[in-house]
Amino acid sequence: MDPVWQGLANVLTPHYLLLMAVGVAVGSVVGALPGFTATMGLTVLLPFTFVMDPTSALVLMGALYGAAAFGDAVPACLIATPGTPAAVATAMEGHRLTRKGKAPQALLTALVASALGQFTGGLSLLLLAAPLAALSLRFGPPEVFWVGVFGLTIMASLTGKSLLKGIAGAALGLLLSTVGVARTEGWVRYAFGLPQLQGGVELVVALIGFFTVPEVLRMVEQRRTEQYVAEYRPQPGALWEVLRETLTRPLLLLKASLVGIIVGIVPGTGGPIAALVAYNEVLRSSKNPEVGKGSIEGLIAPELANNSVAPAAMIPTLTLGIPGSAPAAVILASLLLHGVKPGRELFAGSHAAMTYTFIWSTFVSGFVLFAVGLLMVRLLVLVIRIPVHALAPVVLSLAVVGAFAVRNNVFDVGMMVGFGVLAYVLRKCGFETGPVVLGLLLGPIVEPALITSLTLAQARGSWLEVFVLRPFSALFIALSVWSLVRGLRGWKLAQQVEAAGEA
Amino acid sequence: MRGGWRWVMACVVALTMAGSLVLSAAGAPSGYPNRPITWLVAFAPGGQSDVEVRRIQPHLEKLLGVRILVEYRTGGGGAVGWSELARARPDGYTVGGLVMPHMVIQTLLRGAEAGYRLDQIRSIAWTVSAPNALMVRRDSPFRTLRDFVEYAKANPGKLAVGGVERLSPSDLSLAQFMQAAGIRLTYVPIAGGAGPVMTSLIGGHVDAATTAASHGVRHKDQVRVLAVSGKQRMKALPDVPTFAEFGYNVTVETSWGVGAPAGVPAEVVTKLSQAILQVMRMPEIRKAVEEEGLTPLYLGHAESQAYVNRLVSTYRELVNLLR
Repeated sequence: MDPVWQGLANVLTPHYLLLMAVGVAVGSVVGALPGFTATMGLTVLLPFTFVMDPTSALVLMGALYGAAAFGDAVPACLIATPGTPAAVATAMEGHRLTRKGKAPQALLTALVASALGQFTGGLSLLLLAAPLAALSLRFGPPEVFWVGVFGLTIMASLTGKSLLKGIAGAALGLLLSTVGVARTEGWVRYAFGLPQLQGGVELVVALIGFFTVPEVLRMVEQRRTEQYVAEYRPQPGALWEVLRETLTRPLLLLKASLVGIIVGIVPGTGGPIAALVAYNEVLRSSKNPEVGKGSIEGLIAPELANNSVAPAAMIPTLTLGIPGSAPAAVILASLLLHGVKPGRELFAGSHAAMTYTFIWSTFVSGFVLFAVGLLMVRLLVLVIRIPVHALAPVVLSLAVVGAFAVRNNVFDVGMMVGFGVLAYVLRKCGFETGPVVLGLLLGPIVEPALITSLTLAQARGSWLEVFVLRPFSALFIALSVWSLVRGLRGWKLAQQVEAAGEA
Repeated sequence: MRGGWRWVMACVVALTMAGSLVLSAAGAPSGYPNRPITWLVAFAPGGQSDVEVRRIQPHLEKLLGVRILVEYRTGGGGAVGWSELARARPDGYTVGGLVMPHMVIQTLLRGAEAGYRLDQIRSIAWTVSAPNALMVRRDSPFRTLRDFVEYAKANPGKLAVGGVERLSPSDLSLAQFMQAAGIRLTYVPIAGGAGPVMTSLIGGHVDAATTAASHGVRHKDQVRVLAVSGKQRMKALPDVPTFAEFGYNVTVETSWGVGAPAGVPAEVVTKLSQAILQVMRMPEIRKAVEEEGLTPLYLGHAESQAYVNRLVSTYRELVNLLR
């Protein structure tokens, strides 16, 4: 039998279905716990994968990776805490939806979009692995630099009332990202003689500080004046509402998938950037006034993009042996330890059945995720019925545990609290956390890529050649300019509308 | 609702107790080790430091009769992990992966800011090493190291050679090569480990790359290795000459080992080092290591410290090349 169909037949056997169920369950949990990421979940599984055949290991790890990209939406929607950095956009849009009393819709949207992301990402892996791998090689340091700059232009749509405060926030984020050992040059910056600061600001720790702590404080502040979120009522039609909203927007689905797939194959980037870029695109293009204020439409884009990253990141991993993301690096290590060498042979030689079993498993695990997720959502929405005096301490202790767990470092807990206080103060002064997080996220991508490209320009003797005269550099420069202009105009319009509304 | 919470708490407590019982029952009752050993990895999951512990983990667990808990302490080019290892309790229950020359370069360049001193970490064993390789794309006009050197002589500074960050084995070995061959190349530091370096090479963004030869072996379909460091040719790349064959003294190589906080009892060091080497000598492990383009080292507790001392003096001189 052709290995492609052999793979499909394999994946539908109880053995693999069970593995996927385990992967999905573990993945949803590590994704949902702030401070725990897909990478950490995979390293926990790693010892168990040694006793399995490589196909089972791949299927299990792939299912975990995909499910974590859904799990992180759960705390994001319910308590405005991104479970992993990829859920930053979800923490904004999804939580606003929850506050409108639509917690089930928010979670179901995340679920449906995540499962769809598995399909579109899986499709790219099944049909376009070779051309996409070739495309991923076109992204050298200069291209990655411009992708990062393009990411920074999103800032305008994450900014609140004051554009200046948005720029200041992004600058603060970029500055924070330079703490520690410089990634390319190796010098220590802003460590103030503290060895603990050499490792720099861990993104997850900063996220917990910036999102969770102010949210808990807000919960407590508002306890006396209003309900924390609009009261939750069971809504029987929620799933149909979500499915209708999702499936009637093919263009949105296509765009978000493309963003996820492209970002997935670009080395050094990943879920967080895909989600934010896709979110920005829906904010920009949607005519729906609810988008940005808590809408199903606005939530589909980041969740779909985030999930299509996972299979797409496996393309360079499987075809070139170069991991497309941090979790993919762990999966690659497991393959190598099994003696499986990535490359074209994976798709043709004796390993082809394994490869195609894995590829089909990304689709099937989308279904498994959907089924497991439906069960979970029913229970999870009850979280918002927990009274604030019980919920706030639990969330705060989760924040402490999460900040510690990232690197098993007590210093990080202190840093998290510091960021929390900072974020609270900043919010009171009218700063949004979005731009700060964007700066923190993109600093470690933009800066090293810039330094590498500058050195490259030295060798080539021409800046123009390295930074501009390359097709993808030019493309992303154009995209950045366009995004900046559109973003600024959109922001101005929104301000005018708001001013008119207030008058 | 209240009753429900009490149930949850009861379940959590019961599970924790059951878990700790299972864990304590798994260990041998007397002598070292009788509880799980924490193994600190100073680099990201999936990296070579991770691979080296994962490779021996299942066998070592069987031999020692206790579990090995791999924990990642990443950041600062390894400094974060090694600082923690240096500060850990020297009872043999916290050990960590070591990488040379990274460990010594950190302390030479950063002094106290590195957060650890070399004498705070006792080497237990050194298991594998990888020579550094200079490689080009398969379709590159440079077919041999001689072509490469000739072009570089005629066009000083024009060739862009990518490598893993600055002040790294890549950087050092290229500096050694440039000095030995009397040429000037532009070293392009690339962040994020060898993966992005290989992308940049295979994608044609740099003219050549220098990093651990194992990556050249992994990507042998797409790259051509021009030369490797060290005294002898590699088993995995028998046709590739060493720099020494051309008269260039390039010695930088990367090695991976295991260490514990200084002050760890001698019998612990002996026991661990014997167990680790026993695993490394297993035929299937040896075969896998060599196929990946790595060289097994088999340096036990007796030879380990001398090995480190030798590297320290070598790199003290070499680092001056970069200043």
